[in-house]
Amino acid sequence: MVTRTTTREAEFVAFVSSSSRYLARTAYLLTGNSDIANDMVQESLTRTYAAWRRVRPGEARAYARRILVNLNTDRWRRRTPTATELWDFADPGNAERTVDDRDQIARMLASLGPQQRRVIVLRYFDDLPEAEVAACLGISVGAVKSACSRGLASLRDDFAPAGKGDPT
Amino acid sequence: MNDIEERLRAGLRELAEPVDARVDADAALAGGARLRRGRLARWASGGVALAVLIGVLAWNGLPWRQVVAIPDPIAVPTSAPRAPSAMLSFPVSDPPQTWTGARVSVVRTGDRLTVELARVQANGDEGASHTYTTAAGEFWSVPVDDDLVVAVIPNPVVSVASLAGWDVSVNDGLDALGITVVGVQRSNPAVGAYGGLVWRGANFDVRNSEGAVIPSAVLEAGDRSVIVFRDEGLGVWGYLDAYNDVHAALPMASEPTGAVYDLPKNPEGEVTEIGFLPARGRNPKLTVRDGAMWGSAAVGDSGRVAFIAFAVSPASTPLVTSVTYTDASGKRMTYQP
Repeated sequence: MVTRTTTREAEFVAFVSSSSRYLARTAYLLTGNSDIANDMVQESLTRTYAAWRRVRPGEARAYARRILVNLNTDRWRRRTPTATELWDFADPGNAERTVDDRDQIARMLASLGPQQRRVIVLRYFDDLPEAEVAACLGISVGAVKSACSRGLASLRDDFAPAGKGDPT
Repeated sequence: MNDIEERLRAGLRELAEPVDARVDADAALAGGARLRRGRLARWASGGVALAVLIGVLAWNGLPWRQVVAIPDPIAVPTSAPRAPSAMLSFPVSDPPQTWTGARVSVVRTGDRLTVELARVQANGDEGASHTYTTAAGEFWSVPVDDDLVVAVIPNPVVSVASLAGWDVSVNDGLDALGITVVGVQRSNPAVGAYGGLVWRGANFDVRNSEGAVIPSAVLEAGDRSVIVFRDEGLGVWGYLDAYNDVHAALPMASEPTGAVYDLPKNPEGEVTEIGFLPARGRNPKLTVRDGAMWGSAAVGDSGRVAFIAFAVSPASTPLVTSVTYTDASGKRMTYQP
């Protein structure tokens, strides 16, 4: 029994090691705040371990991500009017176009409703297929397509044409 | 993949790249173990942040009740490999003096389930138990008394709505058993006998407690979607709102035909209205206030068409100011909800 428990714990610690950064980045894109993101990841890992005995091998990351998304939904439900969209890492970098894109994307994410934002993050950062995004959020594939389409349209309007000179 | 998608993916990666995880695996281990040990007690007191919330509109139109649910299974102690099993507890929130809830154990053997129920007395002792057997792939329910019914629903179960006046506690963590166990408790003494349940299964199928697929539709407006259903047999219509985790089955007399029904607002203040065209009405065209989006769909084979209107930040409501549709005789008709 002791050995089994130790094995389970070791498996979980290995999972934390391999997945926490990925989860933190997803959480950051959902929230725009690295502190809140890390709190959410800690909570999702805690809840994942609570269910560790019934989490199937290979599905732990998806399970933790699902909890993360639900925690974010719950955070929106309980949010106060105080803005938490700090985007504390959206500072200038090296490549001009990348910086522009990153800032545009940060602004675009901040302008989205919470559900639409979840769709965009899961679809384009986590690279989930539309059906998997729909299943994760409990919405239809059509709603996923619609949210993606709106997000992309917004970006299409906002992105400065790459390689063009300044307007005169 | 087009250029915009490429840049979006790259931009998201850039945006998130500096983020480092600051998590404590030991704390997660300790917290997870503690959460598991304490989960049942926390459910009894209704203090779980992540519980699925199931709203049921009280019979007399009182505000929505939010019922905390989903007790996790406590593994039955095992000494050797055995059939999948679970032991569950359904506390009664406003208990009769003599008992405070029901203990339910379920064991699966092949395609059969053995369900054992016992009332838990006020002093913590269990009363006499009753044992039943049922097929694992079929809906099954049994009254614990006039105010509490325990039901077994074959998976998959996405969301559950009880009839008005009854609250639902859902245990959906029983994958090994292939079932979801539901406790249905009377929340309004004025309502009649327990009448059944409606739930959503796979592929957006909506089923009733007879196990039958009932007419339903996925209504979509923008990125908002809600499932509506009608069940003539149970005499209910209702909706399943996954985004807000609010699900309701309401008396057919309250069906919003020629009217609109306001769903509970999203936490963000977004407004959603739904409604049904008169019987055999089709081809709706809605006039909505600025900024609102709308959509419509046929509700299965019920001969009814439902619509939805949705606005992120409406200046005023109702969103729907008029509905034009084609009636059974082919005439275009208009009404103001």
